[in-house]
Amino acid sequence: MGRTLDLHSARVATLPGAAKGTAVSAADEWFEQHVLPLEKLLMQYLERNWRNPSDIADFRQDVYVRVYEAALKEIPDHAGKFLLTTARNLLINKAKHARIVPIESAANLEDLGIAADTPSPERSALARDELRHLQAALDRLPPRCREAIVLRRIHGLSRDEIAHRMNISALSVSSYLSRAICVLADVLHGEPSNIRRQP
Amino acid sequence: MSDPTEHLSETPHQRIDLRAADFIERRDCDSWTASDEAEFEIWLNAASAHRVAFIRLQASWRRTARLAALRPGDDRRKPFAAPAGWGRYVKGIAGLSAMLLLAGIAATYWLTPRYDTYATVVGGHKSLTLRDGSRIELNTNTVIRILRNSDRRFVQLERGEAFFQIQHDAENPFEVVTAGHRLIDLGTQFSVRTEQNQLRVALVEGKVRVESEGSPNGATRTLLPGDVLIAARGKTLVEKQPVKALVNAMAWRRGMLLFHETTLIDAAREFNRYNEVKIVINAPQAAHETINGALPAKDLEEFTRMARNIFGLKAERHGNTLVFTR
Repeated sequence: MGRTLDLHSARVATLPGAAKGTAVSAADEWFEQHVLPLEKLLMQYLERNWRNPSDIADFRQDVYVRVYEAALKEIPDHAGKFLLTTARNLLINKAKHARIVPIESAANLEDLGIAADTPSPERSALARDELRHLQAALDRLPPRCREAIVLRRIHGLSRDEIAHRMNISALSVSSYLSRAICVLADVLHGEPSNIRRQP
Repeated sequence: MSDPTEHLSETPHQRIDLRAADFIERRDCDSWTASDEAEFEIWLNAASAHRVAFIRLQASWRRTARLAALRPGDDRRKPFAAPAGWGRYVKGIAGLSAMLLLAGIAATYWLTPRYDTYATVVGGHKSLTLRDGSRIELNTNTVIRILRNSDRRFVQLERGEAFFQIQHDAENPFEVVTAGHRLIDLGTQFSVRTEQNQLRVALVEGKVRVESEGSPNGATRTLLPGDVLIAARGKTLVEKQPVKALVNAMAWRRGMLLFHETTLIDAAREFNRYNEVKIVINAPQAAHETINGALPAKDLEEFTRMARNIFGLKAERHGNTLVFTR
């Protein structure tokens, strides 16, 4: 093992630009492990407090950018509370811009089930449950996207092989796959199987 | 959504998402080059919005790797051991019945591949014995494809890590293709590990010739025992290590991880390759202290005990993460 292993581990565990031990890699890790699992909670909060559903996905990304940039300076102690406070501030700002009074802008954060941060008893995400969950997520994709993903992820075909099989161009395959990746993220983060459902 | 070329009504965030998804999709492909990686890095580091979009999409994309478990041929049947030829590895009956059991989607899109695919999930381990007597051991989270119905001995390592013990045949060399490199055995034992940014080939015994894709004059190298080839971001280097150290690094074959002057955080990363529950070291001082010794790869309790006894860290479980603090 020795030195080579260290080099190796450092490379694979961080994204480009995030050298080992830097604020960037710590923020990446915190974001993935502590913020993303709360996406359903965040979406519920945004949906409950904003009238126009078509804004919500964009707001989510705005909130993510803000919490991520804050984490670059210092990792917040309590991911759930920090995330929802950031969401609330964003909505207040947006509402000022839109001259709308948010319905619940000063909501008591404790009421919103921030308990998502604390472990729950039935966490043991069985592999079979996860598979069933993934299959359900696949069912939510448009048929062509689903076909492309199945060929890639289940059959392990390359892009060219998929193009040949679906009788479309490699470019279209990329496009289907990219869209599928986005939709799967919404479904999988929105309903993580390993996090307790909010009441 | 039905028309993939329709981008008109997208918001900036949706465009970023699609770009990130496109990178994720293409980075998996064989055609991904060093200049693609450079372009990707520039894009990734250009804005926090890019970075959060990428991390988010990649996290869910990684979860879909589990779907490989639905693949026909990736079941719990015994590795092949049938007579005749290097070709048809699979014993038909077992493969067929496993196939018939597959519900819905997998069956719908089933097609006869030119390759047999073998995969392990996170924490998995699999041994394959080929008909020529060669053996391949798959480590955690690994996908390998073996050419079938052909006299050619040809294997693609798509992801993860594998250990090869190859029966030498001067007439018919054994080829392993991975991450833009072609390894041609000259009778040997070696391990190959490939992940997003890095390929690592360690030679224990014999000789391996390595051809790297995209090197101008088709540069080839010959690895000898103790050689470790590391290729990352278009650069390739070869290090010399004691063979004993290389063999130790393959302790995963016995379900163990061996550490030698390994920092706690690197040990945690190594553990995380084998477990769905991910270790986070939230103790900056202890993180870079080193450890020596062996631990079972999937025994988080043992890791916890070690962290407590050696570094005085306490562990707290948050969902699928195990957080260690002072």
